Amino acid sequence: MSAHSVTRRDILKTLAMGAVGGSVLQVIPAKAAEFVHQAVRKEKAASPAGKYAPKYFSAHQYETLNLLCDAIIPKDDHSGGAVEAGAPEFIDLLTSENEKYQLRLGGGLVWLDSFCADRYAKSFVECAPEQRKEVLDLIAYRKNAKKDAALSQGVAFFAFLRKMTCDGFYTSKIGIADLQYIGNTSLREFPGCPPVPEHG
Amino acid sequence: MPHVGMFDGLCHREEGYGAALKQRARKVYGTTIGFSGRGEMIPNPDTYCEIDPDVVDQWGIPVLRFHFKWTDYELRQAQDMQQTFRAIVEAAGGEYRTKTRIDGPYPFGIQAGGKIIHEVGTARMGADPKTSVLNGYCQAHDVKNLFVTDGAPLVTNPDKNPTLTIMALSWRASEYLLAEAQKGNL
Repeated sequence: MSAHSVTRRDILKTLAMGAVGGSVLQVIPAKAAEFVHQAVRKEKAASPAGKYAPKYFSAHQYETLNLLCDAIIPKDDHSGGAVEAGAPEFIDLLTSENEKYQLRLGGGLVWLDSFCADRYAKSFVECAPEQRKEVLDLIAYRKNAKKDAALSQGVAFFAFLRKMTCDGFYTSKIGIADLQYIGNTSLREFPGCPPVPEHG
Repeated sequence: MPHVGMFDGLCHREEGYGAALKQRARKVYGTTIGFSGRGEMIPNPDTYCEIDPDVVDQWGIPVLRFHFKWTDYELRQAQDMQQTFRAIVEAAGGEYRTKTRIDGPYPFGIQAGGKIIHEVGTARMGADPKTSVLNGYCQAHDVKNLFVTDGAPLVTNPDKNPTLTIMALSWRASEYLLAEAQKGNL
């Protein structure tokens, strides 16, 4: 079966099911995640501007999503961040085929904007970087929701998005290289086991 | 290989975001291994199937109904596996982080009955017609010209793949069947 005979929808649905299950035994094959990254790459290559067009999120939501993904996994000395690695595209494409994700992420983004509106009279995107950090420091930890129940939906949303961002990042070329994964490459000859380091 | 869901546990434990989370992911990646044990189930009187007195399928045929129970034979194997896994991990300088409990519905991490199995048994072989259906040649005690040569004659559910055993048993049954037929006994 070639990648072309499996519909994009089939794979996106499979991926979403696996991710929802969350248990180690239900982990979806890395191939399916690679398919999603590949679909994004193909779309970018085919578009005149070299851009991906969001399938589910509005332009404003997508901008917010980009900021959040960048905050969750930023660029550092080792590698590029989640945005460069294509996490927002990965999340958008999966969400476009999954109603539960649509509710959790779409609803969560609205929650975030209304939280920012109450606090700073601005949307998350319009907030100053320090204000965004203040908000993230509140919703990135469960203990804050225990102290203040008004944060619990935000904490749940952020936990889900953090998981999705990790999935998108660590299945991308950049994320895989970041972990220094070198498997799945053929050895022309087997030079023997590497030497065993002295045990201290 | 890095895959979806790989850092769910890390995200749940550490929370937060940003460079620290990324650094932590890099640090823990490749530092955990998992074990999965396989054991042999010994038949017991509380584990059997029977014709359901109430339920039929879409063709009106009564369906089977299953009863199931683990016994100490299986639970002790699971306990032994846990101890062995722990010994391996600790001898290698690791930390054993199992979440399995010694009590509750799945003691020592044993799975629900039927979850990871090969479908064998239910027409077990044996010398005594009172406790078995088939003799050692897969021939029914009650019906001499009936031979059962799939996985049904197995008397326990072994931890290994049963296909080669099934083939060996059916080979022996076939030779016996041929010899008996030539003698005119069937």
